[in-house]
Amino acid sequence: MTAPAIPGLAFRRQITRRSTFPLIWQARRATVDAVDQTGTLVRTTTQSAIDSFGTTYSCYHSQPRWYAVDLDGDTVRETVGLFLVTDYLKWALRLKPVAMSGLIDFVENSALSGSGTIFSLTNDAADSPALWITSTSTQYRLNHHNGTTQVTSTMSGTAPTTGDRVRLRWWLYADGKIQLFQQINSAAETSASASSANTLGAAWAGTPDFRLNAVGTGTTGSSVFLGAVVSLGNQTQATLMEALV
Amino acid sequence: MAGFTINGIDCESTLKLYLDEAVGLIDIPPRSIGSEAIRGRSGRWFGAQRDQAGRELKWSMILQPATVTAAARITAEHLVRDAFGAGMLSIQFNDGSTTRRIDGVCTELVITPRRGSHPFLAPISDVDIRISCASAFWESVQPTILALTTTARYPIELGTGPSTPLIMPMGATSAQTVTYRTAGGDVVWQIKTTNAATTDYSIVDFRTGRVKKSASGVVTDDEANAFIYTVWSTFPQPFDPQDGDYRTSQWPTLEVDSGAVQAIYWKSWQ
Repeated sequence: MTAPAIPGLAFRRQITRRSTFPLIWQARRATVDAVDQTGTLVRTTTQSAIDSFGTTYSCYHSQPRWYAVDLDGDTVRETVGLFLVTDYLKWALRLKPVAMSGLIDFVENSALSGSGTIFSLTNDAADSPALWITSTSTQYRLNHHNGTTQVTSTMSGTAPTTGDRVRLRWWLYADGKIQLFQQINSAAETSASASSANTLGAAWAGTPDFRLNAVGTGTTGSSVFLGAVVSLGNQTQATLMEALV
Repeated sequence: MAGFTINGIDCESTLKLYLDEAVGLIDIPPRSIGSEAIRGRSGRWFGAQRDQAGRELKWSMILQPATVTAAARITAEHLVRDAFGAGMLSIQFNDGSTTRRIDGVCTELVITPRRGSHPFLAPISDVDIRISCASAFWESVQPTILALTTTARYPIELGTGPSTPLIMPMGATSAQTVTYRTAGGDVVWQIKTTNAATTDYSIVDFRTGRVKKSASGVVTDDEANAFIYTVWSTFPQPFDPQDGDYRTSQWPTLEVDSGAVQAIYWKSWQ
């Protein structure tokens, strides 16, 4: 006869909850690290930012430009974001290409009229397969290159202007199709037309990083970033925002 | 709008969990103050606060899914159990004007289908939740950034509880002294750091008690500046509203004698 197992000896459950998504980064934590992942901010020059009381201050080599903004129009700079212009912030994201989604929460500065770079998932050289958001100079565009073919999904209608709070949500489907969604100043989310299917590559190019404000180490944008999340599967905005609350 | 979220999940709109009674939201958790009897005299001498328990939240809630069926109620009960049973919880509470957060663990969850009907048919449940929090204090969701560049004393706007800041002296190659004073101008603590270049900066983390240095973007432990207090105090010291008066917005102050300082802190609430 086998002795019954003694319950409770097989494991001891920890209370620490680690990252609930492959990537969660919130500016309000005032760290470049994402949950469970070390972030790297790349910038060598001295740049300025604005504190919670409207005072301009200097940020030195690799020092995050924490930038306080007033999102509710009451003249109080109550929200802190990371201002990225010539710099970028990256984390190692080594997920293979699968059905996934993500959301970038930011305040539009002049990214859209410039390169429009919001994020990229690729290596330093921006090789493909890759996934990224840039602009057409008037609208944000999600791009997926599988190593052979590139497909895009481009917003239309009202575009964000400087000072708008923008949430760009993106979906990469299991068949390689992509779709971009946009919310401006908490109005109703609108969607771009989905692209055609584009068979997923076996892996993202080289040693892939998830980069805010740059495509590889190259083209940078100009935005105050509030948060970023990457999820497995195609998630709703409500689900993705739970990670950023 | 007033409400709660658990790990970002809205209790009302997503879980259909409506607050009936909340205990512990604004209590002062038990604390002990060091004290000694004074030999040969009456009374006692008070020292510093020794410790304080974490906040205990006790909520009575009503679970009422949009669809009034027992099946919907059972599905909702599973969602509630999974949401609260998931290890460390990040709880956000909005009282209608300010959103505050605290981390805690659900130590008890009791779900009781409403009396007066058969438990397998009841469409509504009563939910009693007990959460033990790591801290005695709520914390603001958003940090406050205070940048100083002159020797003037800058008021530090705080909540009703003590806040532990991240302080970054920079912009000078000689020793920089950062001074924290009460609203009345009394020095509570001073720290002194030295950097080799104006573009280097020190990172004094009052949350962890660690001191680091960033030189051309390379961050290292800064043992040379490990003992940084020039006015002795226990490291780390907070920004404390007791050094001013929250009710009338009288705040303690921060200043630097040269270069610049950046302080990042999260307002704290009792």
